[in-house]
Amino acid sequence: MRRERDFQSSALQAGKVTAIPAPSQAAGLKENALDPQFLHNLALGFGIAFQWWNLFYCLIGVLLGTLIGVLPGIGSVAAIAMLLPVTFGLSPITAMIMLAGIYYGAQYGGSTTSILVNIPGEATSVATCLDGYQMARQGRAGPALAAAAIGSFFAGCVATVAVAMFAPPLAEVALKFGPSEYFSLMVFGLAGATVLAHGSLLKAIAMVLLGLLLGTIGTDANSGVQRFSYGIMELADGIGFIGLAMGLFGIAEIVSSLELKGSREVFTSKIGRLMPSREDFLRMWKPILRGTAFGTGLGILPGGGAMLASFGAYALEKKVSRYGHEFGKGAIEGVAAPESANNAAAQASFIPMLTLGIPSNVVMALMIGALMIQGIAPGPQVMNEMPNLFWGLIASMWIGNLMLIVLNLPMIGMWIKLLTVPYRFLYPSILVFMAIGIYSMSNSPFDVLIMAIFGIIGVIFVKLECEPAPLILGLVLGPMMEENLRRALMISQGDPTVLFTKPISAAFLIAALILLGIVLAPAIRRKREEVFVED
Amino acid sequence: MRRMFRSVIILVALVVCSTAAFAQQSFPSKPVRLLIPYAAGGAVDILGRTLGDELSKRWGQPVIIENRTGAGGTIASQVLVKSDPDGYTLIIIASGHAINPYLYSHLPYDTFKDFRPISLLGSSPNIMLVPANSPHKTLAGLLAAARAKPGSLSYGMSGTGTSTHLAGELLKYMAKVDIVAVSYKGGAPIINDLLGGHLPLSFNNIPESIGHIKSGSLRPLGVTTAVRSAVLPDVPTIAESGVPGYDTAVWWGMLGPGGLPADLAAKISKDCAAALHAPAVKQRLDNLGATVAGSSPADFEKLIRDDYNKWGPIIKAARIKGS
Repeated sequence: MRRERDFQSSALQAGKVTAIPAPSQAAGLKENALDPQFLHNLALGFGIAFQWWNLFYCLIGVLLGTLIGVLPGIGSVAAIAMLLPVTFGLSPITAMIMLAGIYYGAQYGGSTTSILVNIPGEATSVATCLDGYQMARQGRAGPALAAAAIGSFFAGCVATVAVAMFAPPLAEVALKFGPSEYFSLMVFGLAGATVLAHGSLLKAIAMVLLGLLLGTIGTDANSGVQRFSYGIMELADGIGFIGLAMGLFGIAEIVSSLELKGSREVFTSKIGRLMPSREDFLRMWKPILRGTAFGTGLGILPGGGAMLASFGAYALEKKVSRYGHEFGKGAIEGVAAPESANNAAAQASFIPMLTLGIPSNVVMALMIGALMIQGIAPGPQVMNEMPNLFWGLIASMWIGNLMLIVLNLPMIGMWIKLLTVPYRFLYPSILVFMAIGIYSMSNSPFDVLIMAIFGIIGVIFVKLECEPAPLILGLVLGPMMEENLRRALMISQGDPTVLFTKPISAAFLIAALILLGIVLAPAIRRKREEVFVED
Repeated sequence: MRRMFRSVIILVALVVCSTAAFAQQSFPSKPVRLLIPYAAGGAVDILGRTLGDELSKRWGQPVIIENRTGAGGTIASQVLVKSDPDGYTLIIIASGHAINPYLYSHLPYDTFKDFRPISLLGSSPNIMLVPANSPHKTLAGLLAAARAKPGSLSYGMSGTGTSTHLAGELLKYMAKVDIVAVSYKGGAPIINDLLGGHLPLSFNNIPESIGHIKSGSLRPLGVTTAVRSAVLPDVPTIAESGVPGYDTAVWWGMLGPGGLPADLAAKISKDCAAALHAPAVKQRLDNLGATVAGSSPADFEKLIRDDYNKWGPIIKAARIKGS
């Protein structure tokens, strides 16, 4: 027995020597950045992306993506899944160019419904609702849509540069995030959720907690025990986020605006200018820069990265902007920052997939599926062995972003005309589209029901002046936070100090404390001021 | 009058019989719904879409893929059980189907009575992985380390009751070692944590890990099937590395509702086998690391029963709780 073991061990070791040519993928890949080779690769990429059929499929992709993004509820996941068999007949690079186009195209389109009718199509466009819809109500839908499109374009272009130049080192950063680091990042994200509050801080914290509680519904990851599902099989995986968000924002908005007869008239009659004014541009360029940086940084993290980026960029602007008091009432920074962040994150989320073969979200998983069907195993070797795939896709992202802005800016006028449609036609059709969209997510009538129930709850929230955004953050981050905490503790054999001894994890926890301090301090001060009747 | 009545009855009976026979000969005469219990983009989804694409070419009718995710595949199974047993609603299930009765104590259906097995479609070994810089060079060394310090090692698996979880629990059961199961949502985040050095050990599907094995960033310790994998012929099996008799794989198969006529099931089974062995389909599924099958309904039924019987004691030993 022992001899056998030794024999195998030496045989494997012998095999290992030949099997591992490069000690670290990062070291091998870094050579690509910032040298003549880089320019050569870029030329190779553009050569591929400018082939007419690749341009054609890129256009198809971004067109489909925009359309999907605009239709509430119908996500890019469903669309890409349906198109998967179509890609069998295409070359791998053409397939990737088209699928990627759908993905980032949907990010562009998703802002449209958020701004016009307060319905977030994806988790990442929830933050855009907050100020985008308020701008639309004030007749500034045009500048809001333009800010979203311009911010997305800029962010998309810059993040693509980041992907091209720094993909391997950035992927290394993503690898540094294990369960304890994710847990602390989520804690930081939740601390940030309190910054989102426009009104009462107490209500915001209550909404975060409610979101966390709702997030506990479903199957316990470790034991397989069902929690709070009351025998309803559909609840075994928890409450679907999209249905909840569409109910809380969309349906609640429709119902509560039916109550206000007077202001409805105002909404439609004031359309105003289509493009942002000079002042708007001056106000939005910095938020776009910061949002882009936020999105590129957090986008590489799997899971909630893109969503944290859009919320984080919004919260940051609210704190640093001179117009912080206008947030929630239609500040253009509140649209530009999260839209830049979510588009940058969408591009950056390609980094772990392209360099390591690790999908950071469902769309990336689908794209990896498309590659595997073509016989390409995802992994670190793809970037070196198939440079045309990597660089062709990168180049196509620039072209696709350019196509998107050319497509989207002229369409703003058309979208705004939509607002002049009388509400008795507009609202029922929105409701129908929402119902179709949410049903198509997993062909489940239960999701439609969830949307309706949370629509009613949303109306109650409106009456109580409780904002749903912190709740959504709690619902999305809560389960991930729990899973990662439990993973971290299981791997450490129950030792909680890993959360403080790992440097990245500790840094996030300290940052969360500081953030809470900043948020709470003015609140406490205000309370004192109120006591002394200074306000 | 009475005679006429009788002849009408005979006529009606004839028509009914002939349409019934006709229905089986000319199946399908309308679109077929193929339920996929897992999310788009996963192995089962890709298998379903590849097979569905080929079947619709052969049948001349579209095969519509419907992803009904949730609750370990039981939601989609529930939809199938409630549908008409006419062959126009089918499902592709994974090996978890056979053990769901242990995991979900309130299953809304009977795993044996409410389904008509049609065909085993394919299977794939799982693989045991450690990071490249791991001190554990072989399975035997790893097991020795686990025995020396019980509970000190943890392995990543892609969800309670999944094939990777069962593979780990089977190892614990057969090799009598104490290794902690850490649950992840799917295989990709496990790879991330292995590469980042956050996790010492895992069981993964081959397709998602083969790139890292070939590049040397992850080291395979063994495949879970009794024979070595065709795509990784150098990697020993767990059985040959010190745990004799160890054998488990993830498999996928097609089921119809319980009332589906046996001859219709046989016809669909034959069509599936033919479609699976069409060169283009076989090539695509080989690329996914799957071994294409295509079995008779009876063989598939036996496999489900054998799996059910095999896993009972292991799941009990692992104390995986149901709802």
